[in-house]
This record gives sequence, C-alpha cells and structure tokens, in this order.
Amino acid sequence: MFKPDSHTATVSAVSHKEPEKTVLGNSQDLPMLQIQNVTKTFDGALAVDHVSLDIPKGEIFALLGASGSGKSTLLRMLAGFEKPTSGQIILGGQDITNLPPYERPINMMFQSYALFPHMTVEQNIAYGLKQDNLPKQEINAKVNEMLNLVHMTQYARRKPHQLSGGQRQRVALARSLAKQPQLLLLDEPMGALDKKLRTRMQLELVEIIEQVGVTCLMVTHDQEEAMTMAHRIAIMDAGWIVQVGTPTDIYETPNSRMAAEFIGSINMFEGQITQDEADHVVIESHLLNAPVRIGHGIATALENPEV
Amino acid sequence: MTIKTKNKISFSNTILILGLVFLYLPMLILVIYSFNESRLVTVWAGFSTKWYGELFEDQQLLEAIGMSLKIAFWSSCMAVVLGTMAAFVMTRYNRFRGKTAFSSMITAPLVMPDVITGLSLLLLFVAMANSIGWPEERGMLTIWIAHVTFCAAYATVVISSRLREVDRSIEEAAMDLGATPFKTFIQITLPGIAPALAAGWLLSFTLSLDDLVIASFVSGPGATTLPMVVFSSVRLGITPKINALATLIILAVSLAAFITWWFMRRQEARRLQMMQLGDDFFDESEDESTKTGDFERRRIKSAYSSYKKVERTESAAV
Repeated sequence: MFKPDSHTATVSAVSHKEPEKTVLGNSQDLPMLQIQNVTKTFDGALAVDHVSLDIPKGEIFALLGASGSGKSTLLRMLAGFEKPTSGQIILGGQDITNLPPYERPINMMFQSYALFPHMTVEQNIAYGLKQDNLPKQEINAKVNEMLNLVHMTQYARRKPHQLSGGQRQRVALARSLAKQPQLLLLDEPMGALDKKLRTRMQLELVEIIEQVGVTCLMVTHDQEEAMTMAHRIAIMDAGWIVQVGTPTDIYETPNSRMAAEFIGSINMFEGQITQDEADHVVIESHLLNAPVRIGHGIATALENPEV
Repeated sequence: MTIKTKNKISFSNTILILGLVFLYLPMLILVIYSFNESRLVTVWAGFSTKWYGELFEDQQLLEAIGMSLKIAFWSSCMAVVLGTMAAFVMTRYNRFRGKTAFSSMITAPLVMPDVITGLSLLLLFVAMANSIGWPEERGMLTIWIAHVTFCAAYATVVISSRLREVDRSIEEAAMDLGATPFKTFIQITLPGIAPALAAGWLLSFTLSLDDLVIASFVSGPGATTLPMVVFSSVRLGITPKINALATLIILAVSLAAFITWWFMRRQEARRLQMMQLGDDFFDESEDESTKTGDFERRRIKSAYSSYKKVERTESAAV
C-alpha cells in the first residue's frame, strides 16, 4: 500500500540525474538508506510491522506518528540499539542489520540531547572523533569547525548544565555531525524545547543540515515540525506506515482517515457513492447540500477532508 | 512571644538536647577519662596525658591498628569492584536466568547474623585447607576474604541504586559515537556513579574496621585486628590506654566529618553562584525572554537567601 508510493518518489528523484550518471553505474543510483521488510516484536507484541522505506542521499525524512506507533523503535533499530526480529537495513549498499551501534556510520541526536555532564562542550564534540584515534590537531580543527557551524565558539569551555536548552541542542547537533555520519538520526529534535524556541530552531536545524548535506531521518509526533523541516514524511500508526509523500501531498490528499486526522484540522463527511463514472464519482452526503464530484485518484481514499 | 521563648525552653529544643545528650554523653565521659591519672578507669585522680604516651609505646596495639586499617582499606577496594560488577549486571541486563534469585542472594549477607557468616566461612576455610591445602593458615588473607564477602553486599546496594538512576541515553550516545561498551563504562558510566562508589567504599571501610565477630572466627595466630585487641583487653579490665585510643578515633572521625561538611558547603555555594551566573548569561542570550529570566533570577535569589538563612542559623547554633 505504501511501497509503490515510496518507490515512485525515489525513482523520480533519481531520474532527474540519470542523464549525467549513466556511465557511473548502478550503485550511484541506489538510495542512501534502504529499510527492507523490517519487523520488530517485543515479547510477542508487534512494534514495527514489515516496514520498507527508501531514502535518497541528502534528503530530510520525517517519521510522523503518535506515541506507540513504532517510530522510535524503528529509529533505535537504525541506530543499532535494537535488533530487528526480521528484515534488513542497508546503508550505502552495505548491510548493517547486525552491526553494533559503535560500528555504524550513523550518529544520533537524542531527545534529551544526552550530553556528557562531566565534559565541556569542546570535549563533548571531540568524543566521537577521539574514538577513531585521530591525531590531536585534526580533532581540534574539526571541533572548531563544528563550533563555528552551530555558533557556539564562545561557549566551548562550558559544561552542559551551564547552557540553555537551545544551546544544548546545538551542541548535541554538533556532536552528532562531527564524525560526518552517512546518516543523521534526530529523535524528537524539538521535544525538550519550549514553544517559542521551536520555530526558530527548526529553521536553524534545517539550514545546518542542508549546509552539511547529510542524509537525515527524524522522528516526531508534531505534524507542524515534520511539515516545516522534512522533504518527505511517512505517517506511522501501530507499526505500519500509513502514507509516504511530500508534506504537500500528504496535506492535500491524505489516503486514509488516520492520515487525514493526524495531519491537521479537517472537515470530514460521510456519504454514499451515487454515481461511479470512468473519471469521477459523485458522493452524496446528508450533511452537505449538494452532491460532491471527486476524481478517482482521491476517491480511492474514500475520504476527502478538504472539500 | 519572643520574650516567652527566651524564658522557656521550647518542647522541641528539650527533645533535641535530650537526644544529643543520649548520643554523645558516653563519648564525652570517655574523652574525659582518657586524661585520667589513675590506672583505674572509674576513679578520677587528676589530669594527665600519660596514657597517650603509653598508647604510642604499645607495639601490640599499634600493630593491631595497622592491621585493621590495612584490611579495611583492601577489603573496601575489593568490595567496591565486586559491588560495581554485581550492580551493573543487576541493573543493565534486563533478562537472564535466575535474575531474581541472584539479586536477592546478593543482599542476603545484609540480614545474615555475623555469627553465622563467621562460622560458615571458618568451616569453608578449614575444609579448603584440608582438601586443596589453601589457605595454609588463617590470618590476614582469610579476614580480608571474609570482609569482602559481606562488604560487597553493602556496596552493591549503594551502587546499584545510583546506577539505576543514571540516564541510559548518555551511555547510548557514547556507543553511538563509536565507543565500545567497555570504553563507555569506563569513560561515561564510572564518572557518573563516582559519588556512589565513594559512599560504598566508605561504608565498607567502616564496616570492616568495626567488625569483631567475623574476624575472630576466621583469624589465626598473628593476625589480630583492633576490635579483637580492645575486646580481649576489656575482659582483663580496661586500661585507660583504650580510652586514649578511642578519643583519638573520635577526633579523627569528627575531623573527617567536618572536612567533608566544609567541602560540601563550599561546593554548594559555588553551585548556587554558578546558577546565578548562568542566569545572567541566559538574560544576555536571545533564547530566553527577559520575563522568564526575571522569574528565574527571583527564584534563585530566594533559594539563595533561604540557603544563607539556614547557614546563619547553623553558625548561631554552633
């Protein structure tokens, strides 16, 4: 139900570049991240149910869903903290399904930021680089570059508890970008911020991510946040992906009642199909004065919230 | 009303004074009698410090002190290591066979009477010496092993309660950034639980220094701890030397307590100062609106002034 949808989007994104890249071979055209039929059960309860997704390089992709929809579990499986019960995760052509978190070229920005409380901002950002045993000068250069990127240079020697929420988030972002991961995971990136800060940080975050050009997968329950930040959105419910598409697609033509209800304020009418023509149907509802004519594409959803 | 409280000692103050007297009067008497001239502990015969001099000439007693400190030091070190390992397994591994049995068995030595622990360890050591020839004779090593067994239980309880509170996502973040689980434990988890490690160590140290029953069961010739010496000398009649020793121990303990209190007070003051600094700094940053900044500052100020008030009353009480 969702698979063809995601497929067409990927193909169309790639096909733009096709003319120049035909010589380079097939591997270049593969999406950055492929999630294939991934399932996760906890003690028999299904948390993630046969999810497949393709995410091309450089995209900001949002998993949107209420709590308990399985989006966080999916994210944790990508980071390597949970093992899928079945299915495969392929990153840049390499199967990473069974790699432990510390061997994956993926970094995550945690909801609580998870900054190391006993280290300064500088040491926090340098931590991942130190694990790779890089020379000191290289680490320092990289740390300074990251501090510049998130405008935190003057706070380099502060401890996390001396920073405000927005500043902590910037440090967390810098730390997860320092290792130049192939994939950046954001877990409820605005979850710990107050409302006023959110809008500003959303734009700032997108700006930084696009500047770096990293592929990014975020998890959120805030539809506004997903709409502003992401290039494409997947709506999840009960371990399923309900719909995948651009923010406009999903907003204009939700494919089910669940997607429609989740995405914003809607008007919903129940009615009966009175005419079924080749290119449209007519739906009559006792709540509306006139019968509604709807094209077939939308009619498959059997609901049209925005009319 | 103020006059009334001045003239009449209030009920709560009476209780407080009675409680303090109950706790500290015996120690006070002990300190006074340590300066007694007489050989008899119960008869006052004038002021003298001669027992302190004699204390430092008593080789047996000094050796026992050294032995006790050595055993206490090493057994608390070992107890903290074992306790950390046990606490880590109990808090970090969600499911393994016999987890409930393991965690309740770990705390069993807390409620086990010392006599039983001592006797069972003695039987074990004897049986081992007979069958595998080790330990050849009972002494410092066997006391150390015995003390580790029961101190580890206390250390586990202290450390696991702290380990349970540590934010798991910090450990996950370290692994996400490429640190192996072992490195994560050393670089991230250990600094987080350091206060609990210190508390567990101090608790084990005190318990080991204090233990008489288990030590007497498992010790052999040549290994006498301080409680054993004191206890045996009491049976022969206490010499004021013991009083002098006890006075010195009380002095050391109160000094240690005072130094900890002083450091903690300084740290607390610095923390409050830092919060105030941080508050000013939030005001400058554009993230926080001035309104919330003001509110924050007022909150911190009131917290700080109430803290000052407590401090003043404390110093007045002293």
